Amino acid sequence: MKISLKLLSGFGIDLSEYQGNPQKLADLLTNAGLEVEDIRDASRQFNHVVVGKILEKNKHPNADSLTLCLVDTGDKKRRIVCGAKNHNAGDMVVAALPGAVLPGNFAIKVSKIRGEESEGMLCSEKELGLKSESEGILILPANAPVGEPIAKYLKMDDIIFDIKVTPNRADCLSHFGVVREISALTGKPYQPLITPFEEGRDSTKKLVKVSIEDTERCPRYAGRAVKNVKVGPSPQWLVQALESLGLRSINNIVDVTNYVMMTLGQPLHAFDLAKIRGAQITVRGAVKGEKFKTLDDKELSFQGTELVIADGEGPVALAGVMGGLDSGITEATKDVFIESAIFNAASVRRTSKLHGLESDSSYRFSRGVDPEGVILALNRCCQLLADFASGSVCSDFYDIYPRPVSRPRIELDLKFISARLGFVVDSAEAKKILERVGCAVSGSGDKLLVNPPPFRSDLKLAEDLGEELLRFKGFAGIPETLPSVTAFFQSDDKDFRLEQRLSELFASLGYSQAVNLSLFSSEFQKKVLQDKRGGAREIGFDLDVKNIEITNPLNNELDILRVALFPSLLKNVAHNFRHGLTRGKLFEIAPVFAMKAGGEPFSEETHLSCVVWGEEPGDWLKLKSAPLFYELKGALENFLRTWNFKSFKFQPLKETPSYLHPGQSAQVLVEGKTAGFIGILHPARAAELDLKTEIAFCELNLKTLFASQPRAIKSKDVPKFPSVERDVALLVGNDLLASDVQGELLKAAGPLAKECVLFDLYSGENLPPNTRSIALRVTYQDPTKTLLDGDVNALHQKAVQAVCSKLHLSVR
Amino acid sequence: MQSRMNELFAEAKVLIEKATSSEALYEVKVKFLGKQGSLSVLLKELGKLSPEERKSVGKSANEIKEKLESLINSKSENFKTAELNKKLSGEKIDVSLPGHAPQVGSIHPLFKVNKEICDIFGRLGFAVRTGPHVEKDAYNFDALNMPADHPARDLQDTFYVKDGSTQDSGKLSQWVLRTHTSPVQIRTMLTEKPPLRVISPGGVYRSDSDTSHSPHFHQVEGLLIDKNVSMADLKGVLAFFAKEFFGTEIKVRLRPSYFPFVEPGAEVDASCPLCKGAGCSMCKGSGWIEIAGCGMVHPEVFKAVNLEYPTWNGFAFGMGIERMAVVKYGVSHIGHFSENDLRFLETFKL
Repeated sequence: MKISLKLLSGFGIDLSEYQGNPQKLADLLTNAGLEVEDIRDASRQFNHVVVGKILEKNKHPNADSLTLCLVDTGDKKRRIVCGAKNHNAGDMVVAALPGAVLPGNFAIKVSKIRGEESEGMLCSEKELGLKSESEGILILPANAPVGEPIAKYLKMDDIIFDIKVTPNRADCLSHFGVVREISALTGKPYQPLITPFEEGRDSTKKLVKVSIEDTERCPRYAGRAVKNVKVGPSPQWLVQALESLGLRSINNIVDVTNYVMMTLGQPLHAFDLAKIRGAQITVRGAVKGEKFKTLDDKELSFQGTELVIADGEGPVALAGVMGGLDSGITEATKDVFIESAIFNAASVRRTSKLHGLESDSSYRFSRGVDPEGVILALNRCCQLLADFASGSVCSDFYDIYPRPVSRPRIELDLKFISARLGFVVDSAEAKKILERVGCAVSGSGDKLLVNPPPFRSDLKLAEDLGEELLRFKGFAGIPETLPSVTAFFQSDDKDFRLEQRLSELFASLGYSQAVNLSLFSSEFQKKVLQDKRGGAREIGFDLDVKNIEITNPLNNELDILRVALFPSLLKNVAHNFRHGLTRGKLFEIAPVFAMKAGGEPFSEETHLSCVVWGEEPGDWLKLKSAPLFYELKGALENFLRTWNFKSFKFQPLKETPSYLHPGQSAQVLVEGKTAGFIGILHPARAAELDLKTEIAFCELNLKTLFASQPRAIKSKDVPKFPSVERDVALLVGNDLLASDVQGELLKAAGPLAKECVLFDLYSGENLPPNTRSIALRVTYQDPTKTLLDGDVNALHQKAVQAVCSKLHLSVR
Repeated sequence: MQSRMNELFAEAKVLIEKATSSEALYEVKVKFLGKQGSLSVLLKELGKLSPEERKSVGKSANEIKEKLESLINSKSENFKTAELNKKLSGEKIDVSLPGHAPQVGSIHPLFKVNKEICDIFGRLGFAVRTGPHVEKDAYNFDALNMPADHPARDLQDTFYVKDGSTQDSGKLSQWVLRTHTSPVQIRTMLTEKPPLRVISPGGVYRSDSDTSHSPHFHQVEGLLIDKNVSMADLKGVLAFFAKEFFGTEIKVRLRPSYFPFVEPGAEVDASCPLCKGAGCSMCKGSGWIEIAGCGMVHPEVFKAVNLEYPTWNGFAFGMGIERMAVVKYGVSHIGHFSENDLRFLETFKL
């Protein structure tokens, strides 16, 4: 909210010390919880811009359209080249001197214009930022004092503070509120506002009948009619005041209501009395289906939950939110009815949200307006309408106040508060502070009885008063101590630590961790997954699920929560590839989301996804890198082995999801459960997604994998006796999995066989069609003795024979 | 015989000295000490001597033999060393050629910061708790003293999700994407018995987005519930954190602010770790950077989770992970955090 130093000073508080040092006031307010986010010092904006007098006006020797003027700027006489046509010798003008920086960051310096030196610039209103368009330079009245800074002369010496008012401090949503706060903080006195005006003979109550039907949502309604107003432009001071607060001037009537709201915090509304049908105003609930056209020409159809101001025939205003188009002020308006009322905060907020209508009025009402300020604001408005719209204020007014707001009485135990704050607040000091805030304080010693003022609706509990004491004593005074707490057993969230370990493992395997938004595009997700997405038995999680949809998405790129991680990673690959990174590895660990049937409507499970793309650039050693599938598989095997899973297996998918290469993809079985999949992106999908590189990726369901983690480590004794290795090369059909042969051989070799590894693979000439030769090495070890060659040979041979006959293989 | 032996020794010594390779040396060894060598041949005549002579000549012959062997051995060692050296010098490699090892990846800066924060609070006895991203409106707001229609809800632009039941009526469902990590406070207080010290990191969502805000960002929330806890303890804990995280010279200050679920509420500033408080672009010249919001847990929150107050008391604080990473690593643009450009990610390493 914008606050003007000039308007603050209008409340008779001496703020002159801040004129030259606005930061001091900003610090005062910020340290009290009213954070000043910006200070705009208008006087600084016009440094080196002064009133000048044109002494001579001569033709520019080199340009017909320019003049060369001799200008008295107080300090000296300067030659200034000017392009305008409306000036004459003897005119008082605005001269921007070297060093000035005009709006738009336009720096003035001594320069040569068409061969003649110019020591400044004569300014137009547009150049000064006073108007959006202007013709010629600004000519000031003849009595303007030569040399006076223009900011001072034009009274543009105001300082505007932009204050972030937190929702609890609705009392500070006005200049008066901020004055009250400064006064409380500094002890500087302010003058109560007096609003003298002449009362006319007419009677509000005879002109219009007012009643409240819903006193719950409208606890107070006051109003007064002002007759014979002259609708027209506002005086310059009012226009300037509103503009400096970021408001647009409309006409004198509306401007006055806005001005009163900005200064006193009470939203007002002016009705054209002639448009109030049936000469009656009722505050009532809206009827479902009722139609209403707002001031800004929006047609609303009411739900029936709104509160409206209605005349004899229908709604004329959406209470506290916005007036109606038909009853608004126009140039033809003669008599007005000014409404100053209190509407229930929650009701105004709900209505404002419901119809997407926000106004300065709804903003204030939904935070809470001081019910005791209603009449002062009404009177102030009437006074200004009498002064600046020549209105005749009616002699009487409505003030229907069926439910006076009660003020709480708070018992304040200073011992309790001191313990809470961590330092001692003594009774006399507490009393002094709370009285400054506006509370009535009774009692003595550690127990005080406190009545907060009506404008501080945020003060409800002793804790709230504690904060007031802290604010006034200063947060800087809080000592730093470490809590003396109870020691107790409490361990970290298990999955959090497991995810961390997993991240570190994959990072050490060369993968960089990615973090993507969970918000995702349903369209892109569909483009990646298409039909045949895979179910839990196939790939470890179900992708044929319903998306969690966002009711109010920012845009359709972020309209759902993603069901899998890999589509995001594919996007990352595209980004990197586009930027010349033709090779890379990424992983992500994050939750994925889906709708669920029964129970809580949503499921949220953590997944791991990895992606590898491009060929590893060979180095000088010319070591061959693995094909992408095996590179990624190796990383997964590394993970599964490191984490001591008892068994795992990669096997072809029975039904390949559409995004995977049907011949280069597998499901990952861990200890008998499907945990995820791995594969090469289907080339057709890669082309559709414009991914011009081969990509291997995987996605694992960590909920499945973490269920049995972390595994306890069991130490094993180092074998005392040596191990013996035996090799065999087998001819294996292409339709048989190497891992199955490996498994069978290990099983057949019996308990002394510790391990069976595949160490070579050959396919090509000299072999029967559709076969390959796989070389396996079995390691035998007896924990009780050294194995004899002959025994091992026999064992091995028997095993090989068994496997060959079982799987119909032959030894090569 | 003695004199012949001396001659033989002198002759052998000269030959040993002259030998230029291990082969030549071996020849000398064979010639003098071999089975058919000169010394052996000479010693065969030993039997012709008297016992006294035999004894003294024999002794001297052994001495000569040992001396020769030692001369040959030591020279042979020299040759071996020289030959090895020669071989090794031929095996010289260019040590400046690049080594070979798989490239190490990197941990995302947000997770690095996350871990560091959790570890620091872990040293103060805070345990990690996490919660769901799709959260009950009641836990995200109501239980945190933000009932429906509370104006503070406006400070957190909220994403609502369709729960299937209210999809068509136009009414918002009771489920939101959590706007802060604070609902984990509520979940913890509802399921665990005090005293409590928890720290809750995770993703949060707000429906505003511009160059300095992502609709999905990360926070970490701290909660301490115990007996006799004060605002001074809160400040002390945050000062401990700031010193551990940014450096021991860092100071913290609290400024009054407002969060509905605490009272009093404060913003936490740390002296700018970049300029040490002198003023720079990171701290916008103020010398201070905003790092967290905090306060004493509001009585209404205790009411919402059925904890006896003020028997139990406590404080809470929350901070933005992105903000911390920006300050700690000087990340210039928050867009980098979700772009996952390898050139950015790889600067963080392990």
